[in-house]
Amino acid sequence: MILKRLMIEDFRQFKGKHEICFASSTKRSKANITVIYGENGRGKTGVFRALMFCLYGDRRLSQDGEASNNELSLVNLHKLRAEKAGTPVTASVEAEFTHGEERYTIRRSLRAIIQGDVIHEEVPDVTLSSQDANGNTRTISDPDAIRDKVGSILDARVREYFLFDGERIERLTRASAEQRREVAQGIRNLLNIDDLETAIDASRKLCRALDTEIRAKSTGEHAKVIKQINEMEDKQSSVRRRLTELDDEARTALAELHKVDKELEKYQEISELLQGRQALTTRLEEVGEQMTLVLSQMRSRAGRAAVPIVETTIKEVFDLIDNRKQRGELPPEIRQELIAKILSDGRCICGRSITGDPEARSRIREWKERSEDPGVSDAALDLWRYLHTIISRLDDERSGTESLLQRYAELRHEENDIQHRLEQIKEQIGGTERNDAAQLEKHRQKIEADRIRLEAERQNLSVNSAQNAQELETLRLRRSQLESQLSIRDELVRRSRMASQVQQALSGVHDAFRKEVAESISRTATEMFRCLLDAEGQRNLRGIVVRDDYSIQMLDRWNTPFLANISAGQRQIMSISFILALARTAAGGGAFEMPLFMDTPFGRLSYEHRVNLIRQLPEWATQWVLLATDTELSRDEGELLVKEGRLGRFYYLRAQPDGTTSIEDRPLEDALPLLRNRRRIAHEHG
Amino acid sequence: MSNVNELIRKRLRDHPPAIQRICEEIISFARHLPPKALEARLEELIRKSVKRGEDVKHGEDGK
Repeated sequence: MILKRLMIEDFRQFKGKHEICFASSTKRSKANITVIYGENGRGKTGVFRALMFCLYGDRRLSQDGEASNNELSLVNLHKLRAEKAGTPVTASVEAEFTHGEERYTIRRSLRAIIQGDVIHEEVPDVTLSSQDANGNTRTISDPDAIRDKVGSILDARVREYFLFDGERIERLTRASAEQRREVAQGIRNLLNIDDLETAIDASRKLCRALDTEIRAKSTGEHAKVIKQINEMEDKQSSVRRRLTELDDEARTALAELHKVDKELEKYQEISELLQGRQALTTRLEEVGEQMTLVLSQMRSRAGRAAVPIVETTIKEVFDLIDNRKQRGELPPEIRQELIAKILSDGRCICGRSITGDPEARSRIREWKERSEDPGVSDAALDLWRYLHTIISRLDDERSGTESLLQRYAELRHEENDIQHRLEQIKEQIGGTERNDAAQLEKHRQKIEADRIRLEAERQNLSVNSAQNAQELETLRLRRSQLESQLSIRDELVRRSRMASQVQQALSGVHDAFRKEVAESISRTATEMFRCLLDAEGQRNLRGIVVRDDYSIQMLDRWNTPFLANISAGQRQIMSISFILALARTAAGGGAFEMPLFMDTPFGRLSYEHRVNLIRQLPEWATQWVLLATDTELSRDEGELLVKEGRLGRFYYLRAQPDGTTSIEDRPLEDALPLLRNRRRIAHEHG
Repeated sequence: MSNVNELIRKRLRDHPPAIQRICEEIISFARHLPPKALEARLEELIRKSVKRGEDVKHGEDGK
């Protein structure tokens, strides 16, 4: 979507007709920023509200809170009050935008009347016209069809990712489990993952329907195996569902834990204890990781570790062969075949006849009996060499295994010690004289216990899931064998087999694709985040991790979760990086045609962050619309926007004597003098 | 979002052509058809493919 134009008439504080044309980069110009500038209360949020109303029919914004509908009247109150009582006034907003090859114009209007102090607004009217590349036009006025169409361009569930209030965008990183699910659903839609999931669902249902039909016609083991497959599939689905729930619950518990920790930090009396606990918890995690590593090393040595157990036997066998080798019996000096030939020829190798020498013959016979079969002798020599190698390594193996066991024991001991010290800290915090702190600590302990329970259940279910998958594989193989043996070439069976192949192909793509997408968003978001972050942040923060459910986490330089501790400005930068990374992933790595429409873009950002944002963001986004106040967009930022060649349009929201606002299109050369000096702003705001 | 579809298409390339074609087609219909109609569409695609003997060809290919 590229925004072209917004027409506002008698909407909120804008009396009469007003027009905003948006800048977007073209082949000739890279200026893709539109600034809508005004002091507080001039109607910047009114412009944002107009766009949301026009595209999605939103009557309220998330920041409206508990405000009544009367307070949030969309129709211009001046116009309404100026009219005779009962005369309706129409407010309208028209947005023009392009998407792909098509050009769209959406117009939404609503009529209102005022009776006394009460304003009555009608249900809005909406029309959407589109024109394709060949000039064919089409107009629709069915609100549902328009909602679907706009939703297919920018899903309503992710609209706040692209059209947002800068001060509130950081809340995306604080969303509750339910909001997260909603947002994840929107992202799945944006990335077409939900289409994939719908297709998988259809294939699964078809497989089941075909199996039911086959079962009705089959008997014996074939019917039994199909039934078992279906039952196992159901079991596996419910295990997967529970695993997803557990992940959600675990994340909620972790967030709650961080919240409680933050609360506890407020109590000076226990601050040292808390610091100690934090250090111990970090060390406990490290010890756990090291124990896992040592265990895996021990497993990989398991085969070799058995050698010292049979050391005595190995040495006995080696000595036995070695003694025979020392005596010259191995390898035999003369091979059996040659001795047999001497005996049969009756002649020694030196040419002397032994036919008449019974003593010589008898000695040669003894010699023959002593010499081994060549196969046996070669095997004995191989064994000697092999045992020689083992014996030379025995000491290394023994000391390697011993040092691993010792390391594991030390870690185990340290783990027990840390756990014991953590228990003591818990008791100390729980027993503090501050009753509120003690209560919080109790709550914390309960959360920790819950987390342990959840993790145990997750591990059990993961094992179950792996076993189920293996069993399912065996059952499917058995079914296939049975169908071959029974020569079932029935068309129904063939269709079922094909449906199953389709289902497995789609599921395989889904698993790989989800992982790929999460990795791609994490990688891109981290790159962007690090470009936007100030020097201090660069030192302390490592990057952004996007989980399977598309919730976000921040890692510090030690790779530990740090989201709970970052500033609001950093959260804002993080959210913007995430949104842009998401957009880039949705576009397959290229530019994603979607405007970033930001109300109060710099409110919480430090100057360094603002500069980074102004320099970088226009490169990444196709269109950037800034609704900025006089205190957040100073002349420094304005000059930078102009210098970078990115500022395309500038609109000034001017207060009118009657309290309404007009939208003035200002040439860029007139725009900078309107902006105030940063020092002056700082001075005025103390 | 054609680029995302391209990524999905790439991942399907390891599968036999008929399975690949059916999967792509059913994904493209997923957004526009209600669940029952989508299931019926998939059944139809599979029925036709089996009639053409494409499932047997895959078996012979060992795929």
